Amino acid sequence: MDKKEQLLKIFSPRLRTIIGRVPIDFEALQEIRLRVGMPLLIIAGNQEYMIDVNGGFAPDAGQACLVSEVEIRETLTFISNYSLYAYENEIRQGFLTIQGGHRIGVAGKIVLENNTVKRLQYIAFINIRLSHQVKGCADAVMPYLFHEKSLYHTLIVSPPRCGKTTLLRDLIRQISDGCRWCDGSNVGVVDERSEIAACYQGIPQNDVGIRTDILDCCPKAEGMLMLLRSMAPQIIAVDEIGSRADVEAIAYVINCGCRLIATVHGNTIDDIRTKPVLRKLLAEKIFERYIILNNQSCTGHVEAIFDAYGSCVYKSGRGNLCS
Amino acid sequence: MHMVAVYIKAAGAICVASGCLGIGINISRNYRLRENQIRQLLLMLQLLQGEIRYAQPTLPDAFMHIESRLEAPFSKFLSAVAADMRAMEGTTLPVIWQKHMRTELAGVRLEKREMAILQQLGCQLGFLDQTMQLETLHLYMEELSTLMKDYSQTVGQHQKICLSLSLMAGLFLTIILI
Repeated sequence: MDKKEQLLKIFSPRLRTIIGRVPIDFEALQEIRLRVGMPLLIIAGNQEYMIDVNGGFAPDAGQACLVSEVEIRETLTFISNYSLYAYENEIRQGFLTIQGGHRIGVAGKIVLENNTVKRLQYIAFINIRLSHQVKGCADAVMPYLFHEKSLYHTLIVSPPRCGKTTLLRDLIRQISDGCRWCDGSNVGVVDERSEIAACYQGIPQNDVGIRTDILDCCPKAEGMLMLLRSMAPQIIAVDEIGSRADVEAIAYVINCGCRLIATVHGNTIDDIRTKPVLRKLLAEKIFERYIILNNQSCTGHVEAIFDAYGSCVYKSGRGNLCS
Repeated sequence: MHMVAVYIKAAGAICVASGCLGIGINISRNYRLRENQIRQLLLMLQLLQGEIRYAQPTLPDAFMHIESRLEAPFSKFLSAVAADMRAMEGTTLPVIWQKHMRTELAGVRLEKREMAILQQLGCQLGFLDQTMQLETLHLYMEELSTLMKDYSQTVGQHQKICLSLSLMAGLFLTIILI
């Protein structure tokens, strides 16, 4: 079964026929959005398309295929393999990962208990984010991240949808397998939102290298300490740090002699300085390399790479790292 | 010649009587079979409840885990349902469930009440949260347990009545025919 066929099986019968007819290359597909009573939307190549009932492109919402409540319910049934209860915790967090590493975001009515989200009811919005691993996308930044085959503590700074997780995934793979710049190392990944390795039933759906251990759906701070205690990693990788607990765990990891790669939301290093929790990491010069990404010319465009002192070691324009 | 006729009549009488008794034994065995199948159904729900409570797997996985601990035809039924669910051909679970009830459980000795419980169960699986799912299973287990208890109390009597009636019918027929 090819990737497209596998993905189509999560949709209700009518939607799978319609989406199956859409004349877009599967590899270019980024997102499929379903909202009750709203047009079926597909995002491919950073462009949004409304889809009509024949699978063609609709010029306006009036001619687009409207998604019904039953179709959302059926799609959820297939996404969860007829077992919504099995994804109770994931749904409470607002997303789940399916076979193939695709990530399903859900939204609806929240049921609170003691001010915490107890469950999500009346799910009316589904966002399917397709996982496309870009092997080799980290090639161009690799020369700037190592010193005598030892990895610098690295922080990838990027706004959403600019490829920071994709870059992190490829860095993990190359470091784990070994490459021109480093020997293969044991990498521990704390994959809180199943985005890096996209584990499905514990098995990584993305290639994250032969020496990689993954703690899936584990809180970052706790996961980093668990990995240190249990798997003796040489490098730890985490996505989207931001909380005080994360920063404390990072300090502990670094003191233990582990190398660290992390990502954070932001546009520039100055953005990080404005965040009270992360400011400390900059002030103490914990990270030795900062990779700044944006989607100026393409998704995952490397704007600059800075060292711990804020000196630029790479600036966009010297070469195109996107390629 | 006269003796031969007597022997033939005696042999016929034995055949008729034992035939009737055989029918009685068969009916009585079916009573036991039904009891055993209700027990299997109950075991199936208990195992499913345990799987969902402790491992929280998806239904197809849970079915595949428990099918090896059940006897045919329930094991075959669960395997077939799991296979169809994994294929994700766009069919709902109640439809898959009913389809395999018709094909895999066609020869079971369960009566309408038990079959209705099993059919309803197929409509109540797969959604809601874990607690609700477990409670639903618990409800069906209670219902089946009550059925099982009532049935176990009367099955012995039914078997005895069956055997006695069949034996008496055999003897009655023999007398008439002689």
